[in-house]
Amino acid sequence: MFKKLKSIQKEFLGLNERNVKYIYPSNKRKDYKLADDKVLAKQIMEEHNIACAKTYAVIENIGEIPAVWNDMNQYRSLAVKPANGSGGGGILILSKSEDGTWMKGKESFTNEQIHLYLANIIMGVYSLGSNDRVLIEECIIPHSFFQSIYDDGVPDFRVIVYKHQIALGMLRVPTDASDGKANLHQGGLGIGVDLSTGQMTDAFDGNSYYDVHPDTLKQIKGIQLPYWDEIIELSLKTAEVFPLKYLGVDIVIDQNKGPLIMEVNVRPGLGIQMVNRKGLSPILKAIDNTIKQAS
Amino acid sequence: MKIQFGVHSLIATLIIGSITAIALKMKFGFFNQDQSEREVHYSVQYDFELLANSDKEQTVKAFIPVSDSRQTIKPIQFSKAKISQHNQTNQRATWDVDTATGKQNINYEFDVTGRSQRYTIDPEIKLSAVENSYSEFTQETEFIESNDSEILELMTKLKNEQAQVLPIITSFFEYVQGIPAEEIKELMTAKEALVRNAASCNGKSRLFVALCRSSNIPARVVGGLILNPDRKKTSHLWAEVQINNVWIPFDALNNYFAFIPSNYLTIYKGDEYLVTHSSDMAFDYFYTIAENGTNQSFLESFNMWHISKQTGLSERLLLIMLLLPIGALIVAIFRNVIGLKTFGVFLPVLIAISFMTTGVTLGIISFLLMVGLISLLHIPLAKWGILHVPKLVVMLIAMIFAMIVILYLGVELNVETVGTLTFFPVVIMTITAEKYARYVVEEGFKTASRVMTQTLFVTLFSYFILASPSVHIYLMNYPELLLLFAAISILLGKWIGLRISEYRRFGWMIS
Repeated sequence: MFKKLKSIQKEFLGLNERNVKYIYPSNKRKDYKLADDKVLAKQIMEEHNIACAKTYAVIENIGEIPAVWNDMNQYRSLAVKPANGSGGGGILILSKSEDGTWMKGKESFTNEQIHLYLANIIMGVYSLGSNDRVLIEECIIPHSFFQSIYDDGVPDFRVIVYKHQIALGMLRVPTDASDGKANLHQGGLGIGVDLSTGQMTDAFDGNSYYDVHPDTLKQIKGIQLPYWDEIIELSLKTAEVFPLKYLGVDIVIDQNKGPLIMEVNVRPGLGIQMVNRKGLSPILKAIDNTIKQAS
Repeated sequence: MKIQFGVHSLIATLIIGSITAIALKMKFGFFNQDQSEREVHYSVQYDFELLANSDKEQTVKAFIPVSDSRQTIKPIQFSKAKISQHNQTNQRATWDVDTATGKQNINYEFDVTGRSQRYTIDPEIKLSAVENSYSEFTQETEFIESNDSEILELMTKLKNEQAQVLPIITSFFEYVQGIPAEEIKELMTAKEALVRNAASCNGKSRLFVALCRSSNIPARVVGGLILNPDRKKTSHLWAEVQINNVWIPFDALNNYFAFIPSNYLTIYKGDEYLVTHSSDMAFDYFYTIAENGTNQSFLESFNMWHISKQTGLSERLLLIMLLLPIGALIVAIFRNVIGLKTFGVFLPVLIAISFMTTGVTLGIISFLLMVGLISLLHIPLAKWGILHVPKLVVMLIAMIFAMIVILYLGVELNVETVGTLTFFPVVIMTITAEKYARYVVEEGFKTASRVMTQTLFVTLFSYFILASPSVHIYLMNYPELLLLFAAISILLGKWIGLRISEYRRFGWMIS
């Protein structure tokens, strides 16, 4: 019993240790906002020519909403995000139907409803009550590879980068239960990835592991991810331009543009350990050791 | 490494500092059960002003206090006087009036250190072991009419044929204490207090003594001053009952049963006049009482009783101030060591503190009712697309209005406890309830209710610690305990072990 507890302790990274040993020493508090605020993060990525979704507009004041939204009519589809939302909260994907009304999936939105939605973001509904900005950007068309696994929502790839080395990675795919969202705690499916080959390992839904997507039954285990080398390169390059040494990088693969950075995260979750059936503690220690030996 | 050293020395300083202070306080016995048990230091002065009307030999006499087990008297200065033993227990100063001069001042100044004393009466002691019909303290006197038929009748009724002393005295005490208090300047006898059914200290004390004496329990009145910074003419009278050769104090006016507070200065025993003077003079007097803080050390005065007294802030307010960080530490331990989720860090603490006034049952019921109300309200408000901040205002109004209705109904239905509801931290409750409602929408009812249950659990746990009287007493005496809690919090903040919930989260993968 005691031995088992000891081995859990040795293998897995808990919230306390993640914060005290990795996040606080690696990331300066004043730099958190560069990652937390999607608008700031995109500015940095755009400055350094890092591939990411095109920004259509940023709205800061409620008064600007009608004019800016009117301007958005030129696009066929777009993504609305609170700059400081967390865990995918407040993200609205809209596309225009044949007759020109905005739709979220099969649900239609009037301009008035959208104005209210944007105003709520600015009033801070998704950012714990403090004022926020709205980021409107290009809507990603998921790569056809993903459509073959699950044909809804936007799957993304999350890596944890520590001191410019990739520690763990996983693919997040929506499920019937997750309403198009790929986040693990919203019902998304996490898929482990073998970092050396880019092949998918097990899929994890929070309770059990699968070889196939539990809703579509499409094979997952052993399948090679497309753009694998580019994904690794893009993650490392992104970690390079942010002054953060422990971060989560979220990447989507667009049908036309290939891998794009979606966002970066200063407090990447710990569920990735379950998805990969692998604890972060030994991996992070190994990274520290190689750096120590190198210097 | 340098930073590490800084943290460790800070932790060490906090721990050593607080423990040393507490240890020293314990060693010197600086610990009080409550305000009235605090050791007090006063300087007292008798000021007599007189004008002799004839050249006959005239005197002024006053009893002066002596040191005993609970009060230390140090004379400072006084007009030349003859000090004599008045009877076995009392000392009296006599001043000869100089008839040659007209107006004349007589002073007697002394320092007092007073301590409280609590007595316990063995409930097994039989009345027969205490009775003594020959003692001078069971005889009838002019003002203590213990043989009066009405007093005897009352005594028999109150005594109710009980054999033990404690219930008999308790019954006498409760009766006298129940007589409405009235400020009466004139001397009032035991009988007068009984007939009038209203009395000040001297009427109540004499009646209590009379009841004891009428059942052959030795008792006497005691005179003195209640010490508080003042210049006054009022002296005080209380009673003592002799049980097993110990004189035990009782004050039915201020409700002290077998207890004497530290600021009671005993000056004389028995039914005497504190000050007497020859008839042929104009006489005025004052007792000037001032607090003597100077001889109180930092350690002795660094406690919340002292701060409360000096600032006039209520003890309860100061206590709540001290309880907040402790509650927060409890919540921090639940979150970071056990891994429970709560809505906010301070919310469980504030609710726990409000439970201290409302009581747990009423507290939980109103907590759940209000969360339910807000959750129900959230559904239409979200559907109509009301903006976030105005929505919070609407919810707050609903909450307050519901409270007003409950208060109104409570008064109508005569539910006394309903008034305590106002102590509920309504604003924070509203925000939590809103958080809960949004959690329900975003994460589902199951997750939201789990977090709510955990919040309630942490709240209840905090309540049982925060509401404990011994926690209160230690905090009020040793506010430096907070430094110790600060050290624990820093240690907790540096602790990187897995949370208990994480062993479950990760553990199943091993094996």
